[in-house]
Amino acid sequence: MIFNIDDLTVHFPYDKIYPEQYHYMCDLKKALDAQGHCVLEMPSGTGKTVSLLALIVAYQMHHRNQQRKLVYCSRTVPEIEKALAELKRLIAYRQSCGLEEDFFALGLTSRKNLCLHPVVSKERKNRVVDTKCRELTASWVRAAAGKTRGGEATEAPPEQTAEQASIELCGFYEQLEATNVPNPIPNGVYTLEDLKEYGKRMKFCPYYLSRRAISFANVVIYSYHYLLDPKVADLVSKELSKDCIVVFDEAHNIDNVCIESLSIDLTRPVLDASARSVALLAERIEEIKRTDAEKLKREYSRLVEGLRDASAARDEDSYMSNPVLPDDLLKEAVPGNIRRAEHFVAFLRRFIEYLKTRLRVMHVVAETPVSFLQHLKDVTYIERKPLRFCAERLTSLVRTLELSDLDDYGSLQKVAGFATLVSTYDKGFLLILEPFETDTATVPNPILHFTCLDASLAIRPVFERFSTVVITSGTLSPLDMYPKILDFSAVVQESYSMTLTRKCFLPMMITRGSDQVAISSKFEVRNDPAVVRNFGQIMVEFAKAVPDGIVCFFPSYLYMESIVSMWNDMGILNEAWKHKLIFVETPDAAETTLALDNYRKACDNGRGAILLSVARGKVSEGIDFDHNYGRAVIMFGIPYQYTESRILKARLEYLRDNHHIRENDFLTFDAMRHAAQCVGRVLRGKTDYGLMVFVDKRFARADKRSKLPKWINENVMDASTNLSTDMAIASAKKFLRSMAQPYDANQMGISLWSVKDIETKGYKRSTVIAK
Amino acid sequence: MIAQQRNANRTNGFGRSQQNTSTSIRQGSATVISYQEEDAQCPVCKSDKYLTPNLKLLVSPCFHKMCESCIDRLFSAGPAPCPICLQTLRKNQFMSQIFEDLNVEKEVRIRKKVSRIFNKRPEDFSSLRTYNDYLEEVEDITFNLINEVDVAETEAKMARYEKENKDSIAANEARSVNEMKKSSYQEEIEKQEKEQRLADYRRQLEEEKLLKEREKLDLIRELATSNKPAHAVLATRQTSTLKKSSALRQQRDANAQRNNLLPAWLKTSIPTDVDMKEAADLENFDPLGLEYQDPTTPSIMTTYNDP
Repeated sequence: MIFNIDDLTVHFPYDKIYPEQYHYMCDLKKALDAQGHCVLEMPSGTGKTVSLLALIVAYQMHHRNQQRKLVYCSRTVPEIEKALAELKRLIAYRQSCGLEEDFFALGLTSRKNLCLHPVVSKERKNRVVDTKCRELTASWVRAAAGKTRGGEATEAPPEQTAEQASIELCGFYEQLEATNVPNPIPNGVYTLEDLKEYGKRMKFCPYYLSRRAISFANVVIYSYHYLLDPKVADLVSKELSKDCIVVFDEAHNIDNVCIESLSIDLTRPVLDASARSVALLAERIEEIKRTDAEKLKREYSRLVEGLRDASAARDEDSYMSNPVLPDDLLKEAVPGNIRRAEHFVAFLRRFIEYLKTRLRVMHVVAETPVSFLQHLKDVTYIERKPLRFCAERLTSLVRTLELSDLDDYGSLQKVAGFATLVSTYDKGFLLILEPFETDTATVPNPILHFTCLDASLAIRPVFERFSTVVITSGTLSPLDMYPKILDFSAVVQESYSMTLTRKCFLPMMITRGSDQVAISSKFEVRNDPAVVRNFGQIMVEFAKAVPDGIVCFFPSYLYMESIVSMWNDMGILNEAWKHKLIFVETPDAAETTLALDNYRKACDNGRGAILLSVARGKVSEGIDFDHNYGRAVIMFGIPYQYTESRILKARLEYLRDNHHIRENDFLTFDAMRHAAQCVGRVLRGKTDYGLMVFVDKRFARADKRSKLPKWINENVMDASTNLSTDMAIASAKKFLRSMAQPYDANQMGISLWSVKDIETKGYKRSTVIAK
Repeated sequence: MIAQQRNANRTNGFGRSQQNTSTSIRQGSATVISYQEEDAQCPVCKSDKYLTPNLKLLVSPCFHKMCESCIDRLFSAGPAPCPICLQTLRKNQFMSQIFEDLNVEKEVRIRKKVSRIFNKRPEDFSSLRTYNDYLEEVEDITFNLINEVDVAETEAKMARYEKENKDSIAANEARSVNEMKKSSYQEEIEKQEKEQRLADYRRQLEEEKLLKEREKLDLIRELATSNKPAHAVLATRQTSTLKKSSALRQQRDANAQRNNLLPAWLKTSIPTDVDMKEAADLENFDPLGLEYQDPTTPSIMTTYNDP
């Protein structure tokens, strides 16, 4: 269907549109026009991605002279694939409508997913693939093999020596290098599979092809990390222009991604490995000195001139990228005392030795970067400034020494990254040394956590650089929390409700068991047999009443284990087995995949199954339980984080002091977004139906309920907020029976709009807003 | 005090998380733990950790290790030669080992010496380039000393430099001492502020909780004693509490403005449970709705004491 939003003609690849999709597009357009950021919450399974893409592509094509590129970030490879497929369909539709457009879109992922090399692509670990790829494509390897850069002198000289010929290169990469065209791929939309296909046909390396093609693309789709993780972002996302439209999809966890990308954990093995790497570096320097002293001298003189020249030399070879350095610092030269390679190696050695002394401390220490640096200076006479350049200097040294087996240098890279970060940021970070893994452990296993407390640090460059950043997900409530913790101002903040012709999901809050005992996963009562029995009874009762699949979520693995073992003792599991099979999620990915497979099988063949899983685990994040795979989700307890964690405490304190967010508010917010994410799994579209059961006394309280997404909250009836088990079962049965009735699928005009509806109702809405 | 703490915990709703981080964690680290090998053996007397569990090795200025009892035995009677390299040593020159790698230990000691003399700052130079060159020169000197290359020459160079730049060395030293003092003072103040903020925050939570309880009590009492229908009582209650809380907020803002030391977060008031519930109720409240009409008005009572 084709319709207009203001002056913009939007092509939508389906015949009908949901009202909320239309509203979503209207608000998105507002944000694009205003060149501001926005936070949009849209119910899961209502076609968020397609409406987003349809609008932005229409916008791009309408303002063709502006050339605003879309950078679409998603979490996982399957999601990226899904978005690309969606985009492909959209463009095909646009073309079938007779639009002649030059459109180019592609996805970017790791070498491992794209490699075509017959040997390298057989490797299974990401890191190994990267290393092997570099061994074949690094500039010095190619130089040694007699190939020059730039593709001019590529016709292989006949006088190629035997030694040169024996050096193995990657044919795909060479083929790509040999082409003179800046963009060797015709326009179109390429899914990852298409990209590989094209690479195979043309004998081009898909990975480097996509890296090269990014700057020509109208739409780029890749994972969060390419923008947020400073180590990668520098490499991939540096050349994106200012007026790009950046979209973070499934962004409910974005603050944690930000924090993880800047946090570093150092352990004894890491330090030992990096000490070994330093020794290797020293050896290698000696060797180079003997054979090719000129090289070191060249590097040295370049560093004397300033780092900027070094950054100009950054290209495919600079795979060891540095963490965020402020721009003014990049212009400065490397401090004199680490300019020489041997000085720098001694510097690293000293720093690592110092870190080792810190790990010997047998009590918990928490300190700020400032006090850490002061102490470091007192003990080892290492100043702040050279420390700041550590990562950059290491990159330069590795390049000079032409090391390609970077596997060995991972730990050292980590330490150097740590050095740079700790000396760059005074605020928003904390060093926490934990000598023991648990409070009761007697064997020390010290970990030095360098934790980022402020999610806004990692994402700030993104907000500052790009005029429009869209944060969107199915569960972002309360909406004002994200602008606060990520420190930006949004021009549009909107949460959409779900228009339904029939009430296809039923949220319920069970606060008491059938015996009227209040149930809660509160610490004091969580292992109380009465509570555990009531939990079990709820599961059994629902297993009796609900057809096909039921998914149960627990706050943590530990709690799940203890409950399941208690259920076993009480005979509850035996009872449940009479009605459904039981599967359990474990931290192990392979085991969980197997459990999921069998769960699906049991749901399909009518046996029915219960999946026990954890609110912050894999199942809760990426896996959909649509239709018969999930007719009910039961949330046992509120999934609070482990509040005794020192890192969490430090973060809470920081949020309280700097962002004025109360500890309790943040914890509840975090717990509720995970709960909402879990229950959201059951409903993937409007023809689907399911029960959402919240089992905890505390869910009934206003502060918890207000943090649920609007589309769930709207459907919570006052009558169903304070149920006991038997009441809940009764209403669940009623609900399921009504869902089983033949269903008149005519949703036209209510939850499905045609063009005419848009014209009448959409118009009404815009006038209402104008008033 | 303990009871108070517990109350604070309960308002938080998640019990155990309220513990102050600073109570369970020692802030900062002034001390360095010396390094002791697992299976240390004194190279002089050959006694080891197995037979003498409290064996402690110290390092001499010539970077040889020996145990405390050997040091006592050899150097109690005044300066004596090192049993390994024959350099003359004194008892008070022995130090405990900080770094695992003795080379680093040595390096750090040399650096200490060098940095005392070469303590120029970036401000002392006309350009960054010259400062960096200076840094590199210092590094070269240090390296010469560490690797024992041209030691005599380098030391002469150092002595010359010290003589030439006596004044600036002293001045820079004074400057750095001053800075140290300043930064430690700032740290102290920051710490105090933080504690103050925490205390304020706790107190605020406490106050809010008390207020909430009092209001609840008042409401119950009024419902029990008043003659008006329940919904009317509720309505007046709600408006009055809203007023009260907004007044409180204003007062708090005023306080914050008057006293700049109060942190900014006091100014923002985050709605509590009560506020939210009331807000929700107010929205639902429909004065004309029939369902709110009580079937009978309660008769007047002369006395009614709430137990």
